Amino acid sequence: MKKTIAALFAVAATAAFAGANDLLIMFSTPGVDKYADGTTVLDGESYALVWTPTEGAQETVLSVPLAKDGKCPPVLFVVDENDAPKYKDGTWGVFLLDSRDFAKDATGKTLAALDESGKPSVVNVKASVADGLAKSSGFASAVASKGVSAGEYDLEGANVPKPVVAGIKIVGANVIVTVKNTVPFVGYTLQAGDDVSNFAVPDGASTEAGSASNEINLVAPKKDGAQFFKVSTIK
Amino acid sequence: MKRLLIAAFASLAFTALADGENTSYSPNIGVTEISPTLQNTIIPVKFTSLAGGTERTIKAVDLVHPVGIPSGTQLYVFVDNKYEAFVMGTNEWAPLTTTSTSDPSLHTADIGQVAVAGTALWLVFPQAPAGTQKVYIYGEVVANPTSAITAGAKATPVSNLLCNPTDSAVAIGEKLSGITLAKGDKIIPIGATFAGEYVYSGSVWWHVNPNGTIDKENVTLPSIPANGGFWFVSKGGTGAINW
Repeated sequence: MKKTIAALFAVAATAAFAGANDLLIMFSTPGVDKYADGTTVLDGESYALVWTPTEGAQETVLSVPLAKDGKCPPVLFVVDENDAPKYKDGTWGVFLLDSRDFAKDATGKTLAALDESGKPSVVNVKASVADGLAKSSGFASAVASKGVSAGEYDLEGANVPKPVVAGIKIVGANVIVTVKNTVPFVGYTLQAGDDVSNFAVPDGASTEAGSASNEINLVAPKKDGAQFFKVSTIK
Repeated sequence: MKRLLIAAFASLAFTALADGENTSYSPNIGVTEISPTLQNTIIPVKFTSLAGGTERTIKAVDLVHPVGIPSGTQLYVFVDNKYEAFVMGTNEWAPLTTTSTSDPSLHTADIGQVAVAGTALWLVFPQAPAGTQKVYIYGEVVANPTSAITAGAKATPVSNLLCNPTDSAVAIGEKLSGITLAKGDKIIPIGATFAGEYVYSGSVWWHVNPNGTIDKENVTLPSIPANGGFWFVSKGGTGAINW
């Protein structure tokens, strides 16, 4: 399942000369801002100023870990005039990041957007910014008029951690499997088989979104006789 | 003793004094009304703090009265080659947190940030005023106003955001006697009637177009309107403008 992130705003740029040729972008949101899984953004989550060139990869230029009470308070991003030559032919956008510390994968790398230095970076972004700020200097406002949501994630190439079965029980005609080590923007389901060489999703199996902090329960119908299960992600 | 006390108080009865006869005066206080029409407006720092003292400063958030200023309006003080920013909440200025490509560390403006008389501030509304917008600035009137230049160097120029604090237009070229100019110094007037910048060649001023091409050599510097703003970018120029 390929998902993408879009910028949070369409900016109405001003035309006046700001002074020292800096670009000053004020950003805030009225809330409630949400992660892609619909949960309210956590205090301390980051909003990032991202440069999307006409050609080439996006770059997270600045970020502020200032989310509070489900929104971003007014912050000022400043692009120094001396750095302006690096940012031509493209647009600026502000992104809500998801830097929650999910369970690490086998390599110890978290899926959430933390780079090698521990700073938030945009998660798996491949989409271009639809409406962005093309201004190179002066004052600009990127104040959101309503609460924003982190875009969905492009999971191609992402290291989704392996889910771990924490428990299994039989309730009535169903098997309930408790799973941990999931991530919220990925869907999970049970596959079942009569032996370990042949699995498929059975009719009546539930699908659930992963969770950053809680275990999830997956349900599949119980059959008579031996039954084998495994948890799989949904793409 | 009671009679003596009554007599003593009677001797203290006040009589009207002629002006100048043992009269004391407060410093002059000024209130200026600015009627911006654009989203971005220059605010002249033409007053100092009501608290008096010898410093020619005033807290930026004290200079610009909150009354009538819409929530979300930003106030920018340019100091040490960077901006200290504030945003209007509910009738009160609050400091903004800033991050910059030149210094990514988070910095929150000091609510006590002062602005020096003779400099200028930016006031940025959420959108251009739709109707009549009034901005009130107030403080103690500055006697003998000046605009001091913080000197830069050729490789590391310093920008100074300054104002004409008087109530009449001033030909800026007539006010530079207190400045030792350096080649490359710039004067950049702010306002819709201006375009480009003025660059000091070492002997005369050139006018340079916004696209960087030279328009004219050996030009007369323009007039800065009353309460108008301009940049003085120093590449070594130092001193002060005596208005």
